[in-house]
Amino acid sequence: MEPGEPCGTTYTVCGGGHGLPLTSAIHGTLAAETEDLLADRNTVPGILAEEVVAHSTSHNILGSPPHTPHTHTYRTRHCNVVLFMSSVRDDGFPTVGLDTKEGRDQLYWKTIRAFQYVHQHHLEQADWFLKADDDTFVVLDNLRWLLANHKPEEPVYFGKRFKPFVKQGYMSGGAGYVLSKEALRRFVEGFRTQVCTHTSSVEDLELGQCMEKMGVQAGDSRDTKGRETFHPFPPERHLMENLRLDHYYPTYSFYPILLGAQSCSDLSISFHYVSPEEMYMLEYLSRHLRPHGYRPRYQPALTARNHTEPREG
Amino acid sequence: MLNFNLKYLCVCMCYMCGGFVLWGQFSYIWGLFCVFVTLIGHNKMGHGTKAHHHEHHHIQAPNKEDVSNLSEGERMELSHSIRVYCIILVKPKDLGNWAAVKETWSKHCDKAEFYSSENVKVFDSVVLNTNDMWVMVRNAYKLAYERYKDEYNWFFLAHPTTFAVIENLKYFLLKKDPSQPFYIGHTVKSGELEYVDDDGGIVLSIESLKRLSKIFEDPDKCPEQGGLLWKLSEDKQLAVCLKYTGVLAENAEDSEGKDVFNTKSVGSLIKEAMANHPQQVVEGCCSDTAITFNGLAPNHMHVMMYGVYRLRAYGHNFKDLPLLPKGSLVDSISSFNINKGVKGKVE
Repeated sequence: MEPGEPCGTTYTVCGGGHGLPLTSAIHGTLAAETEDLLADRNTVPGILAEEVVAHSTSHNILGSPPHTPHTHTYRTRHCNVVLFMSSVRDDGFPTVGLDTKEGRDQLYWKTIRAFQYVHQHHLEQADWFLKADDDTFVVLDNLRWLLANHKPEEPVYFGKRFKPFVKQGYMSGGAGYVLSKEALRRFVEGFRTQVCTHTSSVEDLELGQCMEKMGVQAGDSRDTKGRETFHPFPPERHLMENLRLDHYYPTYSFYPILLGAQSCSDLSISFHYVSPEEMYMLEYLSRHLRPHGYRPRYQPALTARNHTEPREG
Repeated sequence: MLNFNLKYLCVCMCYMCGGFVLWGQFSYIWGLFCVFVTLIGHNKMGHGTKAHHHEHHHIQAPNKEDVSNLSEGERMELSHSIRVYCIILVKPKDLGNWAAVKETWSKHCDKAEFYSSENVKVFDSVVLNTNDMWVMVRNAYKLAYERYKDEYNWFFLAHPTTFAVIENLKYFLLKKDPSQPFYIGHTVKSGELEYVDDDGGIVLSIESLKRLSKIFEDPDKCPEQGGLLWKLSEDKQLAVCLKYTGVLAENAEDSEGKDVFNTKSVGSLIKEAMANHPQQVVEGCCSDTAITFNGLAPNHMHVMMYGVYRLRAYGHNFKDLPLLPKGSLVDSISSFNINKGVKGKVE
């Protein structure tokens, strides 16, 4: 299910100190963030950044140029490596062309090409691979918290789980989904061996079918209280509407729909259909404005993992 | 008080100087001049000993050092000693916002009451029986003082379109003595008058409220209505009355000089920041210790509650010192019910 017209997808390569071509502005913000994270090893983000390197690619689904620069500014601060995938090379904005055609029916093909590119060029730089739209708001630290309980060698992927059409369910494209390294390997392998084929344009559904065929587990991304972390809509819809009465949502939502304050985890990872203004607002609310002296009720532990293999680069 | 003495001192000096300098027929001209100066002096009230050429009055949040130097016991004592009473002025047309405020941030006040223009069946309120906003403000403050002067030391007045983070208000007030006359908020200058814009919320210390209650009894200085040819808005009128008692408005700012009381919503401020400094939208927009925003629809208040009190980045270390004692957490989860088939709106 992917409402909204895709048009240009933008692909940008940037990375902190990985020997990739960079634009200076991105390098400044990204390098600072990653180094800050790695330097502060006593805090959770530091630990997680060492073990779990999130690598995101993002599709410009709604297509309007004003979206992308804002997402770009925001996302580059938190991902270890950020890639913006586009069908069109845009000199005003760092992109890599995917050599695909435009249009909604091309979306799955773009996704395939994007993941193939990543597999070919960036596989060793990350443990997990996030795909999101440029109108998806993502809290990377919360994604790292979710992934801390899993290993990149597991064939698993996470997102907002939908139930129809695929036995184990599949993940909503717009809400963003994240593949383990093993899951990405199997996805690319699936196309190479033609176990997975490009049968329709419904990107997230097709990817979900491929995942199932390749034995990649559809993970449960809910928090320890059963509240969802990936969201296919902006916060207001989840918090304020009774989505049990929506025409489609109950058919799609894999898990029971919780209402009101229970609809969203404190440690939510994503929201979709977020305008640029709302993206900045959510950033301000989640990372800046806070009630001084107030201790939130939900205080989950980070489950420690034994990690014996040495990490590389 | 100092005004009065100073005026007469000036007048006496004037006569004395005149007496020394001018002798004979010019002394009565000088006498007239001195009388004239006295009359002019009488009209220009409120300047007193303060340097009245200072344009704005600013007041800051406590320094991080001030707070971190406190012992655990001192902090607990301080936070317990700050008791905030919230006055929310409502009318029946505000029912949607009234419900939202009731269900959200007002629960974080030590006590919150809704002062309504008229009785409304759905909700309890203190009924003021007037539609005039200035009269509502007056009577609400009067009643609040009469009933709660011994129980609360800070009084926060807001409209139902305002969203407030009471914890940040308490943090702001941490080292301020309520027995001093504080009148704090987002200030605006209108000619000579600096007043707190009530859209951003108004904070009065108990001392200010005490002085205000007294001046309410003076119909010349602080009339209930019709005292002036032109009608001032209620927030300006409040400032005029307070000024007579020697209480001046102060603009509240954080350690970086950013306003903490905002008369606009986060969304509006973000839009402005996107236009004015697109490279630094979030950094430039709003304070990390913001206390109020205004112009919020009911749904937005619930989203703000989630965004402020719940949604956060895991491990993001807010190097904060706990102010609230254990066990006194206020439930930040909005306890509203979604009516069947209705999209969360209360009409």
